[in-house]
Order: sequence, then structure tokens, then C-alpha cells
Amino acid sequence: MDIANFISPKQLLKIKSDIAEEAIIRANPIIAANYQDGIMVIAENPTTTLFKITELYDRIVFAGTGVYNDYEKLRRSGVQYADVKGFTYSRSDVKAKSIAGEYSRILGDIFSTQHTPMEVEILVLELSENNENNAMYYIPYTGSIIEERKIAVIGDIYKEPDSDVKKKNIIREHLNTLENIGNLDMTQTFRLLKDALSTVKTNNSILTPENIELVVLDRKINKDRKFRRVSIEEMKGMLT
Amino acid sequence: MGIFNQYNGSSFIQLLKSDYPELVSDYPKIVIDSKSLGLIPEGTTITALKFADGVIIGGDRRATAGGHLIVNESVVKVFKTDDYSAIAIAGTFGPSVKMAKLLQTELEHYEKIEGFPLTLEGKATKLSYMVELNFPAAMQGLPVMPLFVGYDIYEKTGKIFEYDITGGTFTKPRQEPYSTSGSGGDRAASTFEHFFKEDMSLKESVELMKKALTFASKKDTATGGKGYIIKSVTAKGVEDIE
Repeated sequence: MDIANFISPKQLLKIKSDIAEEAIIRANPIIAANYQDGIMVIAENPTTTLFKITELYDRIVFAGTGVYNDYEKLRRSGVQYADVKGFTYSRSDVKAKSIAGEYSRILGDIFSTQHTPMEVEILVLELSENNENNAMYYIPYTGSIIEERKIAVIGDIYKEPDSDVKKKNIIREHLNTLENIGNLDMTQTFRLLKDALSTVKTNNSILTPENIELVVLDRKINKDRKFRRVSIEEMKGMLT
Repeated sequence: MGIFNQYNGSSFIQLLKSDYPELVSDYPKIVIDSKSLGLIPEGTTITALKFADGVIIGGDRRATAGGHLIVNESVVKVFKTDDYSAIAIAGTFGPSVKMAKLLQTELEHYEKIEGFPLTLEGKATKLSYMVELNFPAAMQGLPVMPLFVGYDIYEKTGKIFEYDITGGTFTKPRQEPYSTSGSGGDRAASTFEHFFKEDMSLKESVELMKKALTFASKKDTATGGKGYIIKSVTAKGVEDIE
């Protein structure tokens, strides 16, 4: 007997949301922002090879937070989708909007029909010729899709260790107070975003280049693929 | 994405075969008669040559059909496959170009899924598999015989890979660092035989390659066209020379 028959749909959704939110609270937030030469994405990540911010296509980046296995599955599917599309048509035909739409569809299906949702929040970001046309799509576990401008944050949910009160959008609100974010150079943007991440450090570790994952979609790269992972040395250079 | 395709590994070709079979050419099931073969463009000379800093790879630009009709004089037969490798194609034009494009996508796909690129050896092996897949079609008159070159960033040397029609591959050893393929391949090879020197400069090796391609075009009507396409593959990556 399916337990769903005994609970009101509204309550069922609430239960699923709680499951997903618990996982997202435990995970770290990820921030994406425009900067002078494109888009910068930053996350706290103590590992050296398990990445949260990865390349999907020439000008498209994927970022996921929550349960690793879940967003890793979505990432791989996204790469498959993008490469099949690019191969069948052409490289310019691969757009973040279609990938984000697919993610929205799948996450929505899973959220409404499965017992547990995918415990993730994801971002699909696309670099355009100028920053005004950069595309940023935020897709949470419910499958809804939100188009962002200039700044996008995922995993922005926190809970004090000994309370049940959930706090949301702390980083987002902090970033909204910064007037000129979106057109600053790489160093300034990196410093601002690193500080923004530091406002919600819940455990006692300090943010250093060794535990930061930093990626840029850089318009100045002279290849089709604009994705670049920033090294620890370069981050250290920007902080001196 | 049909989301969550059935195939979850790192090979693009396997993904197509498993989840998008309609995108994979079905040559083996086509029976081609000799009269229709005359409609299919083919013929070429392609060459690869090691020099001091790496390898250069080049080919002519003519496509012929039916043995003597010139179909095109500006065909591109040399392609960059990734940052440190390139392919030149000989044989039937259509499936050859498709194979080059598929190899490009395969290498990029692997790198994105896994997080790091294949070694040069791995790339050459993958191409060997693709040539082997084409073998039934090759036997029916649609051969693809590529040359593959790369700069091995670990061993800091250029390498040339030659393939036979079944996909069998061998790396060119140090003593014979050049390779040719195509209908004019033999004549180009004899030029290299006479004039090759170890550790030539880029300029010298490009001059030699052009000499070889020109000699091949003098005797092979399927080789020629508007100039040649030559690329170099070194520690600096793949660069266009001609």
C-alpha cells in the first residue's frame, strides 16, 4: 500500500521539501557572478578532484550542491545532452536554456512522482557576448526554473546546530548590498565573493585558496571553450 | 536528455550506439554496387612528418569521383582533434569526415565526463576502434584510412600513428618518423625516403612535406587542388601552417 494514499498531497510535498532542504543545509553554497571578462563561480570545496563546478559546453557551466551522487548524475546527463546536440547540429546550437529546461523537467518529474526528491540545487550558466546577455538559471529540487541576472546563489539555506529555525538567502542579501558587483575585474570580484562565502561559515575552518573551487567563463580565452579552472597559485596571487 | 540515458560511461560513440542509434551510420547494411561507387568522392595524399619540436601533418585538397572526375579542389582533409592531436583522412570523403568529427566529439566528451583528457595512446586506440567499426563498409568500397598525430606531453615528443584498413595501428618508431596514406601515398613516401633528416626545423619539414605532396600530385590524378593544408602539433598545441 502506497503511503501516499494516506497523506494529503500538500503534506507530502512538505515532507519531500524537508528531506531535500536537510541535505542542502548540510552542503555548501555556491555563488556565481558576472565580472568584467565573463562569469565567475566560487564554492568552498576541500577536495582536489571532486568538483562542484564543471564544464558542460563551450560557454556553459554547471554547478551543483546537495548530495554529490545526485548532482553528479545530473552533470553527466547534461554533458551527454550537450554533446549529442552539438554533434547532431552545430556547436552554436547548444544553449543553456534547453539544458536548464531539461533539468527542470526531470527534477519536477522526480519531485512529484518519486518518494524522495533529488536532494540538489543546480545552476546552469551561459556566457554571452556581453554581460547583459549572460544567462543564469537556478533550478532547485522542485524542478522550478528561475532566471537570474548578474548574481546567482545556490545552497543558501542554513540552520544553527541546536535549533530548528532555517535561515535562507543570507548570501544573496549580502551580495545585493554591493553596488557595483557585476563589472569589476577578476581580482576584485574574487575578493568580494570570497568574503560573501565567509559570511556564512558555520564551522570553524577559514576560507583559503586550498579549500576554494574557482572557475571562470572567460571571454578573453582564444578558443571555443571558454571554461577555465583557476589554480591555487593564481588565487593566492589575487589575495596579496 | 531522455534524462538519464541508458549509457553512463565516458564514450560518446557508445552513448550514440546505445541511446541514439539513429545518429550512427549504418553502412554495413547498405549493399553498394560498383556503378554507384563512381558517385562517391575519394582519393588523396596525406602525410605526417616528425621534426625537432613535434610533428607536422598535411594533405592535398582534391576530391575525385569515378576515378577521374574532379569534384572539389578545396577540400579540408586535416583536422585538429584536440589541443595536442590532429587527424588527416584518406579514402571515401563522407565517412572520413564523419569519423574525424566523431573523434573530436569523443575526445572532448571523455575529457568533460572524466575531468581529465585521454593520454595520446588512449586517443590513438579509440581511433583504431573507429576504423575497425568501418571495416565492413571499407570492404564494400567505402574505406577510411586516417593518419593520426599528437604531441605526447608526458614524453615530450611528437608521435605518428598509422592505421590499416582493419583498424590495426602501430606507432611509427623513432627510425621511421614519417608516414603517408592515400592513393598518392607511395610517391610521397619515396620523397621522404630520400630527403628526410632527423630534427629538422619547422621550415625545413614544411618544405619537405610540400615537395612530397607536389611529387604525389604529379603522378596521381586524385591528388592536387588549391594548395595544401598543413598543421603542426607541438608543445604549443595545434597550429595552422598552411
